[in-house]
Amino acid sequence: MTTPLLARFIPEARELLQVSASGLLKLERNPTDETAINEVFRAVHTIKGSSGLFDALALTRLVHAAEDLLGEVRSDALQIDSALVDMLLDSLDQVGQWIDELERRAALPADADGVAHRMAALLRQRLGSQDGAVDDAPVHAALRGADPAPDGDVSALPPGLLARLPAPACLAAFRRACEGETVHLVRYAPEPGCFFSGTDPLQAIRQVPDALALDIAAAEPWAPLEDLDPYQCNLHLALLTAAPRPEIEQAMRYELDRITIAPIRPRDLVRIEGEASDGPIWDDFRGAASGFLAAGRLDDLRKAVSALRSVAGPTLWRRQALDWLEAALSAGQPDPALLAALVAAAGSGRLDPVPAGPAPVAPAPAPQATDPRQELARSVLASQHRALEHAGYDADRLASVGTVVGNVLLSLGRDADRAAIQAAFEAAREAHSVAPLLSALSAVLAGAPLLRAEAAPALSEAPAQAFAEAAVPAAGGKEPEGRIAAKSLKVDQAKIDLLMNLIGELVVSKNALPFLAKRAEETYASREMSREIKEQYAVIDRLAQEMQGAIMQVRMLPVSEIFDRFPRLVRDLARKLGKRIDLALEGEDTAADKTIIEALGDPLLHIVRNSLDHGIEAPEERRAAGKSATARILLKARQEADSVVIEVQDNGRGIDPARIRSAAITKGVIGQEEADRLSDQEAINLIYRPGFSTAPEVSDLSGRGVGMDVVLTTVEKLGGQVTVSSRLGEGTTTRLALPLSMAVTRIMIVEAAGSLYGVPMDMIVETVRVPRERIRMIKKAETFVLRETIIPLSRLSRLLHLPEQPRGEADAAVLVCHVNGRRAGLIIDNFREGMDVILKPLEGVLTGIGGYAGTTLLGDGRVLLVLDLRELL
Amino acid sequence: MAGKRILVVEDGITMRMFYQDVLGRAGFVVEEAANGVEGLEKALLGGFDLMIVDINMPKMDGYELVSRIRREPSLQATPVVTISTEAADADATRAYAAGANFYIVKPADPVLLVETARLLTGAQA
Repeated sequence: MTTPLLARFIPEARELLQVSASGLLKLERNPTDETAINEVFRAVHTIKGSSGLFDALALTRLVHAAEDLLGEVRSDALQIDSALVDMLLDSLDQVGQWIDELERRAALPADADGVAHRMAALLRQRLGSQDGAVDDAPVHAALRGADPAPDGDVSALPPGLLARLPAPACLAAFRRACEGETVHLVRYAPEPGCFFSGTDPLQAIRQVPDALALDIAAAEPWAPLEDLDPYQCNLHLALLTAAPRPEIEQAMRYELDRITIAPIRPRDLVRIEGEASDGPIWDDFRGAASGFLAAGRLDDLRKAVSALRSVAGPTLWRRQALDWLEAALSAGQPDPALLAALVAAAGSGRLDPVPAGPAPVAPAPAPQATDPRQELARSVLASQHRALEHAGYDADRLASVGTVVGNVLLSLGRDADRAAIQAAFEAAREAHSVAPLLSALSAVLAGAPLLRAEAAPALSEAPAQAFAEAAVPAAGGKEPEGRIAAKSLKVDQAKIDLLMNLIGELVVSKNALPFLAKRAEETYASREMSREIKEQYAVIDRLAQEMQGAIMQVRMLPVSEIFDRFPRLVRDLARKLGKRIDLALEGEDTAADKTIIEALGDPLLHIVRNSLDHGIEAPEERRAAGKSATARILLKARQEADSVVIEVQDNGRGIDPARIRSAAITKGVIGQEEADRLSDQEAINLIYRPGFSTAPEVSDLSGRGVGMDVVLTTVEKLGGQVTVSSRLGEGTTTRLALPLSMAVTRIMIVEAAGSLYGVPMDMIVETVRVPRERIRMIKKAETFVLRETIIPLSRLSRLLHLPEQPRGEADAAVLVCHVNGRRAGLIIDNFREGMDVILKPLEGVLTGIGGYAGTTLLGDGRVLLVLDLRELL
Repeated sequence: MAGKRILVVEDGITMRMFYQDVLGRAGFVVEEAANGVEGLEKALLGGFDLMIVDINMPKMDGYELVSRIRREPSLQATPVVTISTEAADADATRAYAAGANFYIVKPADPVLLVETARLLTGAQA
């Protein structure tokens, strides 16, 4: 079952996939195309973001991998090439299939996890092969000794885990901890079978922000190489991070049951390395420092430390101890026990365990808040702290921080804290410094859990913006009146069709007015009335035509709708066939009716595939023929009068009429005699005959059991024409000419057996009157010769099984038509006028009757049947 | 919390619908903008208690939008939450530097999102 949200996601994702694919092709051609990479990256990024809302983890993973890769390309860390484009396109195709699957069943197929893992791994391989691309967190030690499973208790940390972390990372963490942040150790024991469910443990833990150090160790001692199962994840990961707990949990949300998060005390991080040293200078320091410490003269201690640091060699153990001491001293309220231990270490050259002090360093590690709201509020407030630290004193920035802090406290009902914070804000403004505010915030953060006063939830109604003073927008309550109007409208096609039908009816019914005018004049002898009717008719006629034009514009689509799929298609086919092809598109903006555009896709695809398969030579063959190895296919669209012309040009080997002739004979399409009589051009036209295909074996591209005759059928059904011209060795051009719109058909009215019929004008080549004596019988069939061409004749009345009425005229009226690639003559009784009509398909019980293209209304209200000559002849 | 108005600036249609859904159901009035430029235009019309801004957007990205908001006197007091699929700290830092008040990682948990919106607008649960 699809939810509305999923129903919204599916078309969005498809569109974005299309954007990505075409962007990738642009990139392949021009790897430095910045617009293209940004476009692709953003599209993939958006898919990833939205897909996270659904139960489609595999899809998200795969898209994520693709995005990471694109990110590298965008930052120039990775060079894009065809192999990479292939991989990305494959991944996007897979995502597309999953989208289809989501649409069908609202779930991914069972194998999706495995597929995603495999494909993502392939993509990430490319990432890994790039130097330094992957090391965003310091991966410290790999594969070392065994680690007991994490159990969440800090005191039960595996011995040496912290000691294994690199000293500089520990010092950095120590600094952050002393500055009041809580440093967490995240321990992660991935499921041994996680590789099969598409989990990448390293990638997963890397999502945790603010990483300081990463440690990876074997969970069990490594088995001997011959017994080692590389598909089992035998790793324990540990990450030191300064991120608050909610952020860690958010980042690791898919693996929450596999991780433990524990706050680390600064003292547990202390690790001093370096060469031993000795000398009176250290003894002096020890004496002085102990004195300062005992007297609480921390400033003097700081000075002493920095003085000694500036003279001691940076590689010495004792000097390193000073680094830690300095960091510990930078804390707002340094832990005396820790300071004493570090002073002693610097003085003695050896670190004794820090005695457990009564209280850990401020602020206290986050209380074990079970209420996520409290945690969140804490995190929001911490963010304001962070934002302020960043910005320093900036009146512009203070306002929003004020609103947020005020709102959070208001929301939690902590009015006392609000008052304190408000005071701090005023102090900050006066002093032009964020310091008072920072310490007030720290106090709130460090204080009791952010619980609402239980007794009195009577909440102050004072608007939170009071904190922000003048920055409050003056006209805050004003409704945005000048909404930005929608620029385009999506309308159901059925509505447009209905509108078009109605306009069609209007166009036809107005044709009744000239009849009325004629009657007014002839029957009622009112010339004036007749004139007025004609005047009104002119007005209505103009309006109807404009309406018709307008509705056709609505239905017009640019040919780019179909052209756009060709770059990808040609590229893929060319690679598959080992050919090199440069595809150029021209005139993509040319517009034609939606029906035409939609119906054109398949024939065009067929022509292009045929050209790739049979027309374009392999690169060696082209070189041998003195051509450039890369062939060229040009797809060109343009408007010519009221038709749209689409040409497919290639500079391949061209069509060999001799081969076509012999192939046609072999396949029984034509006989030897006929073959000899055909001109070269006529021979080339044979490729459009049913059952013809020159390829020795049916290829998987243009084969598929249908020949080029499908092209001809489709195009002629649309009222268009196909012509092929080819020069041997130079290339082939296939030209499709189609009406711009199918809405209006021009027909000629003809008379046969006492009735009127319509014949579509685009089938008629010419009208001739043939003297009876020039009609000859060839093998029981009537024919006549028109400009040295024998034209077979048929009688329309006979084709329609109507009684023939012998006519005494000396001439026969012949309609010469172009049907199914041949010329044929149709003997009728008389020609009548031509007219524009809206053709309606046969409906109801008439649907099954062959030979008719549809019906239309004549001006006097009579129904006219329009013939489908392709079926009749 | 009737009347608390949130402007969501996000280029993904699905994501916009998600915000409408989740925040709308929690009683917020949610307005949408599809990119940074549109977001700034709508924000300037005024009256929003909170803005939720996507980082990766066409025309004007989230960082740029947030820093523009902070330069507008009428918008300086409006809380802004940035939202991105990147959990990387560098992105969060950049967002805070631009003037954001909070940073959420996509896909946001609906409960967390509503709570955040309540806290930042001073609304009661």
